[in-house]
Amino acid sequence: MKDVVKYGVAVGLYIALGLVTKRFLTWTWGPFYFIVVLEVLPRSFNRLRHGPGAPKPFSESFASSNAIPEL
Amino acid sequence: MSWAAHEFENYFIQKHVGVKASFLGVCVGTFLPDLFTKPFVYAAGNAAQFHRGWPGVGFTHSFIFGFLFAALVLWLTRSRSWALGILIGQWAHVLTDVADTAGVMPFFPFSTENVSISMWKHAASQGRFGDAAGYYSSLGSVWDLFWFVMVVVFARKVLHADYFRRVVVPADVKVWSWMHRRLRLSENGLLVAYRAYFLYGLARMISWFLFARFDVKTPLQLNWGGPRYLPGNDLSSASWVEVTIRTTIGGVLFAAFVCLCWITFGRRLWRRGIDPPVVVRGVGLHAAFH
Repeated sequence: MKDVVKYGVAVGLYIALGLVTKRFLTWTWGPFYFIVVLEVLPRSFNRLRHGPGAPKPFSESFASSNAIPEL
Repeated sequence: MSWAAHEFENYFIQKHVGVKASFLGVCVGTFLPDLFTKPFVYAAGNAAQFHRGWPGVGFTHSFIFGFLFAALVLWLTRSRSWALGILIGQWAHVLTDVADTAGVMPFFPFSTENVSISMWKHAASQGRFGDAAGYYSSLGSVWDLFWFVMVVVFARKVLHADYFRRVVVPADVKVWSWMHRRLRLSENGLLVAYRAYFLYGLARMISWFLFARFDVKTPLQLNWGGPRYLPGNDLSSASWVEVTIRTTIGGVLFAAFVCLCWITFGRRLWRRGIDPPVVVRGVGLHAAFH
């Protein structure tokens, strides 16, 4: 549910920015907007607040699934 | 052309391939026909002819293009899941683009006849904004909505974080772990990257639809072959009988060509290919779908 709200805000922002500026990202760049808004910016903001640190580790369930053995 | 359907289709395909094809491979395949050509389409004198015709770059919207590209990827990377993903994604794009008036040449070079069901007008000659406004004033908008609903209703599970962990990542461990290490994306970041095309498709569909309704105020004409205010861009003046005959001949020759390729080099390439540990392939269609 938390994800749905976050994603809804990101989609809403995309639509508003597009309609106001008359600039719409193409399919080659569009997905990067969501990675920047939903991952890069919040992480940078957290880093500014709490200082530099390693990227958030994978959840236990993700790591224990052996999906990414290099971790 | 389709504006958001190509994004949504990736997730619908994912539901049916499971771990047997790479999701990222499917995405590359879906975008492959337009990847190197789209920037030039709007600048072309005859956009429809350049985009879908021959002479032009219409061969990118043919089955043989996806087949040969997938074979090249299999040869270079030995990854079966990437080769399959690219093949399925590219073929899905070709089939989707049959719906506009320009159509595609599915069996190029054995048939250069454009096949189309003319559901909406190919409007690239109007420039990017005019194209978008035309598409979202026609049945194209319904087509995008249809694929959005198909994903949300029938393939909703592929958007879950748990599905991403259990199926999508194990099917393509190398690339996802590379993204984690090199791009320093967290688990949440990888999940956002996976869902990004779905979110982008949704945002794109709504924003262009609103742009057409409230900015350029084009009339919404949901008739077959609409919108009426745009000129048609049919690339073929042949009757449907001629199109059917030529396309059937092209299809038979294409099938023979694929068989020949399979016998001469395809089978060998496939055998030396590598699968992720979780993949158990069956025979026939079960080699690609679960």
